[in-house]
Order: sequence, then structure tokens, then C-alpha cells
Amino acid sequence: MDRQTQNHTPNLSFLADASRNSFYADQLADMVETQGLIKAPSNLKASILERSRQMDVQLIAHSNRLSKKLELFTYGLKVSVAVSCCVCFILTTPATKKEMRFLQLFSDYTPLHVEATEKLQIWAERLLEFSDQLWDREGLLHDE
Amino acid sequence: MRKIHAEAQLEQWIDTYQNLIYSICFQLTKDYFDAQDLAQETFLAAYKNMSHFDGKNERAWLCRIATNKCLDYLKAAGRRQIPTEEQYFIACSDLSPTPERDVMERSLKSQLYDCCIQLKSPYKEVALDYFYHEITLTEMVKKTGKNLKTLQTQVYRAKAMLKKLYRKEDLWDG
Repeated sequence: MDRQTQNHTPNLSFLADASRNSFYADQLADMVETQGLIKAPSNLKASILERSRQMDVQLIAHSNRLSKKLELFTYGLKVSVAVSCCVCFILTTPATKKEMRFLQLFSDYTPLHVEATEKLQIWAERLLEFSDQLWDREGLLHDE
Repeated sequence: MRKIHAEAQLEQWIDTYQNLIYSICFQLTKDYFDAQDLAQETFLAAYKNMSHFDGKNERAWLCRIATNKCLDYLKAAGRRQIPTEEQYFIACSDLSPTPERDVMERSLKSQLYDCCIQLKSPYKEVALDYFYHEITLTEMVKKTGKNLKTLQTQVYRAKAMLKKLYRKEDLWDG
């Protein structure tokens, strides 16, 4: 009420405030109520209800309700995407660790194919040595 | 189901706040018909945006919508001058719950009557019944025996004529 008595500027700033702020709107309503209300025409209610049932009004009201639902849906979608990203991250991170642990555990052992190749190389060397010896013996026999 | 709920909510708002909203609109516009139109627009805007209402303090919310509608109306091109804040509150004090307020309401009615009787027949009778005596359309159908659609059209035309007459009177007063 202070605003109304103190500030009589010619720019209707109080009404502008009342149009934006619920506190001032409440003050305006209190003031109008205490000073007495004018009785609204009795056909006002019927005309509002009749107009509210018309297609254009129904469409806007429905689309507003729908946009609210859509807003909720997009919010839900965002949250679910974030949650699924988190779940993926959680699931993938231990797998890497497991892999690393596995490699650490088996790093002391030589892989089978490497072991086999090494053995094959040894056998090949022995065979070569044996064949060399054979050649040497054959050469001696031939000389004799 | 949701639509029924919304309509019930709208009806409840109208029952509770129609006098308050109409009073705000009338005090700002000083026009019987424009105030009625703005009050209707206020409730329709509330109905359309019901889903965005947070459910807190509906009286303040409706008052905000009404004030916005009135300010838009006053700012619109070709309208009369916006009253100063001082003029507005002087006008409000004129409406205190005293015999003066009753006199004001009676003068409002007599102004409406004067405008109605200036119309030509059949609009004069229709305007007197609908706007002055506040008889509903269904009652008017019973009373006159006319078709509902015909009466609706006549009320619509009579309203437009009365609005013009109100503006003319305002210009003479101004």
C-alpha cells in the first residue's frame, strides 16, 4: 500500500509492477477489494464458458498442455540419455581394468606359439649340425 | 477427463474472481463493454495457460493477467490516453463501499440504458434485455420466440453498436 500513496508518478509504474510481480498484484487486488467491487454482468460467466468451448481456444489450451508434456518428455529423455551414458561408462571402465590385470597375471608366461618357434629353431640347428657332421664323415671316408 | 477438470477449474475461478477482475478492468478502461471483453480475455488467457500455472496464489496470477490485458488495451494505438497513476487511484477512491459507489453503479446502469434506447429496433429490445436487464439468451428465446442463432447475431451487433456509442460519449466528455 505504501507504493500507492507515496509514488504518484504519471507513468502507472505501480500497475506495470502489478502486471509483473505477484506481490504488487496482490496489493492491487486487496486495494480494489477493500474499496468495493463492481458486480460483473451476469452474462459474463456464460460468455466466457461459451468462448472457452470454441475450437480455437480449445486448440491453444490443448497445445499448451501438450507442450508442457513435451517439455517433460524432453527433460526425461535428456536424463535417460545421461543415465545410459553413465551406465556405459561404468560398464566399460572395469573391462579395461580386467584386461590390464589379465595381462599383468600372464606376462611371466611365454606364449605357446613363441615357445614352439623357439623349439623348432633349436631342432633345426641340431639337424644342421648333424648334417654337417655327416658331410664331414663322408668327406673323410671319400679321402681315405 | 483433463478437459473436464480444466473447465471445472475455469468455472471456479470465474465464480470466485469475476467481480474482482471486472472491477480492475472497469476502473482502468472506464468502459462497460471493454471491461467485459477484457475480463473475458483474462479468464480465457488463464484457461489457455492453465498448464503453466504453478498453483500458488491464483488471485495474484489472475490480477496480473488482467492488469497486463488492460495495459495492452490502453497502450494500443488509437486508444484513449492512459490515465495517470493519480487519476487511477482517485477513480478507485470514488468506488469506496459508500453510498457514492452505489450512485456510481446506478449511473453506470443509467448510462447503459441511455445507450440501449438510442439503438433502433430490434437491437434496442435485444440490448435492453441482454445487457441492461441481464436476461440470458435461453430466457430470451422463451420470451420472444425467436431463434437462438438470430438472437446471438442480434446481441453481437447490438454490442458493437453500443461500443461505438460509448466511444462517442467519451469523445464528447473528453
